[in-house]
Amino acid sequence: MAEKASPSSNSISLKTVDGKIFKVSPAIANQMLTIQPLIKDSDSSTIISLPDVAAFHLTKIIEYLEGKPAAAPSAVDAFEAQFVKDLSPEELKGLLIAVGYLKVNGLVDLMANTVAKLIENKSVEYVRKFFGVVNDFTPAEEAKCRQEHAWAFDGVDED
Amino acid sequence: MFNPKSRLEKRSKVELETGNDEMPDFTEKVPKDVLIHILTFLPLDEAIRSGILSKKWKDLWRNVTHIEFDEKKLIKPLLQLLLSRKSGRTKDVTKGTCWYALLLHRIMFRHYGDLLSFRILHSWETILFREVQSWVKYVLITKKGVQNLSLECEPDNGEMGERFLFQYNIPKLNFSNGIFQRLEGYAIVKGYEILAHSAMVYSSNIIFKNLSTLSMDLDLNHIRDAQDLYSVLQLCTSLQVLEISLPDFENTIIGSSNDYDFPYPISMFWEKQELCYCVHEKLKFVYIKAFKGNELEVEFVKYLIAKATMMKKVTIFCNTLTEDAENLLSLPKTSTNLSINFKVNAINIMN
Repeated sequence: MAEKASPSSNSISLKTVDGKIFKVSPAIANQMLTIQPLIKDSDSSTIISLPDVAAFHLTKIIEYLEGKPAAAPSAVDAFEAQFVKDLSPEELKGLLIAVGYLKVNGLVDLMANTVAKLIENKSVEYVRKFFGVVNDFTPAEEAKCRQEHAWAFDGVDED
Repeated sequence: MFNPKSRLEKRSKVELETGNDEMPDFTEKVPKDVLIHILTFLPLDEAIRSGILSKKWKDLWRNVTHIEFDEKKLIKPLLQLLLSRKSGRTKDVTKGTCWYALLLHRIMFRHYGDLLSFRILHSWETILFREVQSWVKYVLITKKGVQNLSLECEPDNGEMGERFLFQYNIPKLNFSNGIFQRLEGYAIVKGYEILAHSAMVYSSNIIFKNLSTLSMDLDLNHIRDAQDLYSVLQLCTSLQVLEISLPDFENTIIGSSNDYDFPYPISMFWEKQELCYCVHEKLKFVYIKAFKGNELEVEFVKYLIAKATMMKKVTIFCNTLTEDAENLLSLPKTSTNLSINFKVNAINIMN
């Protein structure tokens, strides 16, 4: 390949937070909206660091971007179902962070939807625990919040 | 070496922990828009409940891009309350509806982001038609970028269902069969009658001019339905895709009769209609679901074959292929690219 070819024809090096370097094609990298602007100015010696992305997550993201069928919606659905099937909740959460940080095309939707399903119909305590959210309301404040939307809490079983 | 944005560098010290039993606050690392994205996939009441997780979450739901009022979920406590009171039922239903309406208004006022889609489901007994109109109006006026707006009256007690999808500048309109019941006077209104009515009222409105896809439930065999369809088609000057779902049940509630005064037999209804711009110039794809091969259904397809110059594909879903239907294949076509497909025993595959 000619050396003066546009830089985007080179593969892009991405460095994960745990120090692994991945080489991906520009077509793949371009679907990560956060690093898109960096790709333009990069050449083959460029290494883009991804602070919130571990090697495992980047592997999954690349797997998704490379594997996603371009064709029928039903094929995409099947592929996506398979993609999230074997992920543990912890892996899901980590992946959501990585995907949310990189703004990966399509995958943000999938991950958000998958996480939503995990917390749907769960008690407030369950969701707090699931996300590791620390309740920073005072009991009075929390009661006030509940009062504000009393209808939404009425008749809801605590798990 | 490229020049990393300082924001990236600062955050690079943050260590990512996964599979950690300590459960660090996961949401600290997730941008708010991603959290909002998650909430968008939850039922509205759950999204609102997430407000008591912590201060950070308190108002996140107000930015969700999809709002869905599902009466069955939202109103459950309310309905239980109403059922427990044994006094005058109608009065209670009215009261419940007002309550519900107030609640929806309150939620709508609190929501401050843009909306991509908005959907209301209700059981038909408790819906006030005027309320529905006012919600739609509110959304159309205050929210930008709505791509999907849907009002649905869900089947209730084995009765019929309703869907009513409406929008300003977004290209898809969905409208399905059913009834709205106005509490004053108990007038029963069919969904597409409301659509047809709206089409008259908003005839100068871009809702219909920009519409590229219309799907609706109606019974082509009833001349009033056919008339409504025709009047809507006349207004939809950009329509390219039309989906029609015929009822797959006997329609007993709505006494649609065919005793209309025409100077010609009813079967000639479509033949006698004036040329309609969208059918002639725009329409490309037509799907007809639960096609039974009755006369007026066949006539409608004939009308399309004879008039639509841009038509590419007519897909007909039916249980059995009648001879009349099969004969459609051999008719001379106005559009050279037209293919007519029958899908036998495939009723629900629209997309």
